[in-house]
Amino acid sequence: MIPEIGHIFLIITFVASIMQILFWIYNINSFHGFTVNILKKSALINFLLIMSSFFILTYSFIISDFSLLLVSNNSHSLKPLIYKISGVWGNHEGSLLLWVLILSAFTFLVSKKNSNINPKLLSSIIGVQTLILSLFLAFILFTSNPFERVETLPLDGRGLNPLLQDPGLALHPPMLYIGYVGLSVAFSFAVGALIIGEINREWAQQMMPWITIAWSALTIGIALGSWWAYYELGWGGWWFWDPVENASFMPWLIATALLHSVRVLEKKLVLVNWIILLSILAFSFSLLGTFIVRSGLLTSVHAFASDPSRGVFILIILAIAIGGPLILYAFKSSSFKEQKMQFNILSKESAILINNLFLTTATATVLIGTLYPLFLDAFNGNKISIGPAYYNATFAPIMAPVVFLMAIAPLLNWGQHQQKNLSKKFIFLIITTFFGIICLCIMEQSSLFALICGSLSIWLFSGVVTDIIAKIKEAKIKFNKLSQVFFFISKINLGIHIAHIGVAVFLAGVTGEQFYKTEYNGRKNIGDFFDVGEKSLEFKKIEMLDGPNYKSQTATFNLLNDGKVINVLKPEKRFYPTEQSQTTEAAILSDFLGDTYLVLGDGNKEIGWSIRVYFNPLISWIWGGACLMALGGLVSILQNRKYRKIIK
Amino acid sequence: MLKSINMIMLLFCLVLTMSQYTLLAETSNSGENFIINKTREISQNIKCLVCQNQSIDESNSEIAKDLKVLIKNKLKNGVSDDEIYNFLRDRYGDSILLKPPLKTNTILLWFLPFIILVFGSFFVIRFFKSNYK
Repeated sequence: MIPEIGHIFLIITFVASIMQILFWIYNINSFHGFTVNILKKSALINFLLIMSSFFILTYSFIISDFSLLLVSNNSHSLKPLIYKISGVWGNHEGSLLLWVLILSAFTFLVSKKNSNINPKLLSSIIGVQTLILSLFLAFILFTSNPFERVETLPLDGRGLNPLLQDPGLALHPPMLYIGYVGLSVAFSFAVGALIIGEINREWAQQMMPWITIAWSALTIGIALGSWWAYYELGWGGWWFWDPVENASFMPWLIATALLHSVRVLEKKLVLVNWIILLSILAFSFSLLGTFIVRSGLLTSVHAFASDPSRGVFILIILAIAIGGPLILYAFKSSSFKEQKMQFNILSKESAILINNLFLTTATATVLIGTLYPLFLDAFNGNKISIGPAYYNATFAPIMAPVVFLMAIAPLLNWGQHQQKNLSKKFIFLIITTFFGIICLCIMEQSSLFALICGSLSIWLFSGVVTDIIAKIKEAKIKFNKLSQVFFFISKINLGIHIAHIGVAVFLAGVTGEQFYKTEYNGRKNIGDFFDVGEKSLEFKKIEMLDGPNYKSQTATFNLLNDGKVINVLKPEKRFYPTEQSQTTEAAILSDFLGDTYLVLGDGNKEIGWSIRVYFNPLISWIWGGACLMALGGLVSILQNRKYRKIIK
Repeated sequence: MLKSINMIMLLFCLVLTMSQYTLLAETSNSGENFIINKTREISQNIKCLVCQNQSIDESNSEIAKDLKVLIKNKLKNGVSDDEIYNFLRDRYGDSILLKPPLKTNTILLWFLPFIILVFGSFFVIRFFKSNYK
């Protein structure tokens, strides 16, 4: 009975959302607050109904109600509680319900926090959000109903794919979806502006915190996914240019471009058309990202529960949600009045423009790399594969200038005012970078690309340091008064600096992992000693252990340095009887300077086991850098009083 | 301003010479190590056909192991990189190469990103010109 209530809630929300849309369209030209108030109330009701429905589904998972098809297909009574809960979104139907839950939450929050903007714009924003909501609810109700019952009650569930039974992956989809769906707010702001044909600087200020939240969540979501792939798949890598990874990376790139260009619009009414287009594109890529995983269009390790029969519905949604606004854009975009830009070549504006050029080109590159094999196959049946080598040759050189500019742009002024101490700052930046590069060359022998990558990281780091020092000097604060210095630093645009440092840290990690990684392969048996680089490993034993819902083959290795045991590594192979599948649990010894990564392969007592050992220098900096970027986003929201008013 | 541009140029030259020095040091490796590194380099560009989006370097499957041994043996016999790639391509088709070869059907794949960049730059420059104070 309880699941039926959840189902009915969804149906009610769907019907109500269609009525709300009709109500909004009917009143689209009315100015009075009555329309907005109705739409605001209904946003709250939509949110509460979908949340109840989501909780009902979660409840069914927790009590293992196997009369629900979804639960019996994706859960098991023996599964730990946390994976029973994360199992809710570990499948197609449940993850879509999570998607609409987040969407309705965002709609409600926007209607509450942005109540001081033009009521006509606000009602359009809520209207567009509700339109997206109704499309997704239709998709859920007609093709992917999470509350479908089974015909005969099974004895137990079929379990969740063991690869997904993991704390990192429990959080990965919600974070990613907050990112994807958060971008819908920017989309609705853009479409709203197109509908009312009016835009101002306040529009940008109101939109900014939402983009920043979405961007931060997306950063964390992608980082979690990458971290999960690193420790769970046992391949030793962290990014595979897998189509599904690309699907989440493209909205991130566009959102990054948007995040920067909106700052220009906050200052002056310029680049209006471009920013509206970017807002529409960012969410379009989010939709594409959501559906690329779901439609079965692309095969990938992540593409669980794909069903081609849903494809048509997906295409219809994409056509309405992307095509509609683009047509509207084509007709209305020329109506916006823009101010004359009037900027210096050496200004933040021009740097951000170039940043946008390169970021959108980079997005296009990833899109081409992801979809080209599909189109070629459909066009003439030729099959090609695109691996990291393609992206190294195209994506990397396009992104390198972005990082190069990232160090310089914060040093420049807005607008047309000539900088006073610019050349001094540049000289400081160049000299510090130069010393950094020399240190790099002395410490490690490196190839040209390693040097470029490492230098960019140092360059960016120096850029941020230069900027902070210059600002302290300009404020005439003495460096020996530390408390004053810290107080001052806490008052400048700290968010941007933290995020940029995050990119520098990330790049340092990439340099270490890409160019200084070492690997050893071999077949070893119990009792073997073998050297791996400067250290050596001793294969102690291998044993069978029982986990909560799996059986594990656990090997024990001693890591020795100069004959002394410095650590014990326990790689596992797990067998999940319910799901009839196996996972590899690498033993990872992680510290600040690098990881030792040991994978146990197939084997037996006669022939030994195949063993892989990787030394991945600085690899944890990759995720550390991503966390700093996201933190930077959050700090910038908290710090900026303009935004704080909106969020509070 | 001019001073700092000169500085950049000087620095760039220095870095370039330094990196060339380090590059030379690396290529002088030969013998057993050279073959192992070369095998890894090539196998990173070969797709494991039974896996999903993995190179044979990353994969532990039987076919990946066989191919790695095959590449290593060919390298020991003095076969060049290109010949190895061509051999594998003739045997398994284009899709085994993770770096698609430049042919008529992949021209767009390789050049479209840069064409977009050039077009974009054109717009940005035009925008600069019309808005420069």
